[in-house]
Amino acid sequence: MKITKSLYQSLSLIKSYYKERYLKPYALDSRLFPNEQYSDFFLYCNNAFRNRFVAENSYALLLRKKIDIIHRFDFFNKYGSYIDNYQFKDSNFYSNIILPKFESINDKYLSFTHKTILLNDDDYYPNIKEKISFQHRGYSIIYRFPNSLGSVVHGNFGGIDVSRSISCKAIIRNQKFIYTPVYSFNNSSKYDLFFNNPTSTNLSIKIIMNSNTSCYDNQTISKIIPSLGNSFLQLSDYKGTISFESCMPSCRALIITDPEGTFNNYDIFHS
Amino acid sequence: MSCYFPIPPNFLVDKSSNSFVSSSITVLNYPSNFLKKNYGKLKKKDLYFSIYSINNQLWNKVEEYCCSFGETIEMHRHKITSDNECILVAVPSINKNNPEKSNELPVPYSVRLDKSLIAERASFNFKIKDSSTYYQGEYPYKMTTINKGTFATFDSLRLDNDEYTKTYLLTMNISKYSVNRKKHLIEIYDPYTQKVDQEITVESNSFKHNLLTKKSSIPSSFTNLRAISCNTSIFIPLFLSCKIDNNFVNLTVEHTHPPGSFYWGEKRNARRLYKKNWVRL
Repeated sequence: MKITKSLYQSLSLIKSYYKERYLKPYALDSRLFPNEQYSDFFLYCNNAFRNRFVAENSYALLLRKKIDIIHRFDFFNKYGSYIDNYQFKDSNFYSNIILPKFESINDKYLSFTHKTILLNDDDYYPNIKEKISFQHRGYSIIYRFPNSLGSVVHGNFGGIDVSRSISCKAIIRNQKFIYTPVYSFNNSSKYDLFFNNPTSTNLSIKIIMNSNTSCYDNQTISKIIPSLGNSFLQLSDYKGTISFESCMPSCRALIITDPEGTFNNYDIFHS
Repeated sequence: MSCYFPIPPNFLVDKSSNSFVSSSITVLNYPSNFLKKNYGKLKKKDLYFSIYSINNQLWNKVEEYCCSFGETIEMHRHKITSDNECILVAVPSINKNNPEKSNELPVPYSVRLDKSLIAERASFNFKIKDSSTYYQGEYPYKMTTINKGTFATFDSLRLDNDEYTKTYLLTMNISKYSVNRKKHLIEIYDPYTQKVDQEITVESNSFKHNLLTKKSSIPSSFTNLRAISCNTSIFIPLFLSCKIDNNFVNLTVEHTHPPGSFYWGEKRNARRLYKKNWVRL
């Protein structure tokens, strides 16, 4: 009976997936046979005074008790090359972790994944009957300067399987999408538009300026971002909206206002 | 799925410097995300936004804005009303025919072209003097038809670890029915000892700012973590922190993820377990 039900559910999932597969952001196998853990692809600001991360202890939250785990972070540079990892042991429901500095790396922005490692399997598995897969969606807090309040931005997209080695489950489709954030850029402000690529192939993005302006030739700027890499566009003297054209079903930049902190108006938010 | 866009409240954060959070929303007459092949299907029409507030147990249309195709407009709360407590909801519409008074909010119009990911959004803008912070969000129509529900989150985004900083929990709730003004108790408690150390009463159909009381003067650490729960209603929670130190003003806002987003694939069982753990009955 259980096998029949499971088979029926799998077939329904496959049917609904293929019906509109060009809209699906993740690979079918990650939905049919989910692994233990998936992570968003988070932003790290290498020019900031401090990067903190608010990490959830998914095991402890599900069992409502302290469970010893290691929070592990894997960092990637703008080319998508692996840099290093950082580990932090804790048992609390949430941890507010100061991330390491990467002073020898010149990239303005880096990306990272988050995973949790149980120190003792017996703390969790005997108590949970169902198979539950975690999705790490924590929050970065960027302190641009020592006296900054901190700018909070949550994980937004990734689908990176971190259960064992890093494996990308977000997919580049063969259809193009146009995403337009509800944000009107102001010509007296400066911005960085940050993109990272959680897929296993190069991501090509066309950034379309929707207003007529003399600042940008051809009204479009193209970026090609390698797998697990990142790129950003410095924007100034531009008023209006911007669209992003790509083959990723969810291609949204993080918008960083006043990125150098010159005007006391540093902020980061998802577009 | 179509969406409403509530306009956040304005509120005083620091009496000595007379610092107010001034709120507005920005909306766009353009689909947020669509397949390029559907570009030819774009309807290049004006979009109207009726602003509704509740008065005498009815939704009253208090303002109307027109947004041309491809354009944005910003709706400042102080330009609509001087009452900082009342709820204001922007309802997107294809024409100006929304009723002046109604006991149900009109169903919002959607400019979506296809089923591409990402809901229609507004930018929620918060400013104190020259400092600003933004949150891109919406209130889904479907959520306004839910009469019961529960809410659980944590105050993990609070940043009020010095004397200059305050963190507010902004609670968003919309019911399409204007008579729904039930009061709900939100309890903020220590997740380790279960001791409640702050209670907040919030109505249905409100967008309220709630100052989080500081538990201690110890710099932020997660021994200070608190759980937040309500067993009678759903909310969308935003955490807005502001730091005011002489001429230095800094703001940041973000929402906490709903429980389901912490799980991949089949979420029902995990969400049920999470809520069973963290919603106080």
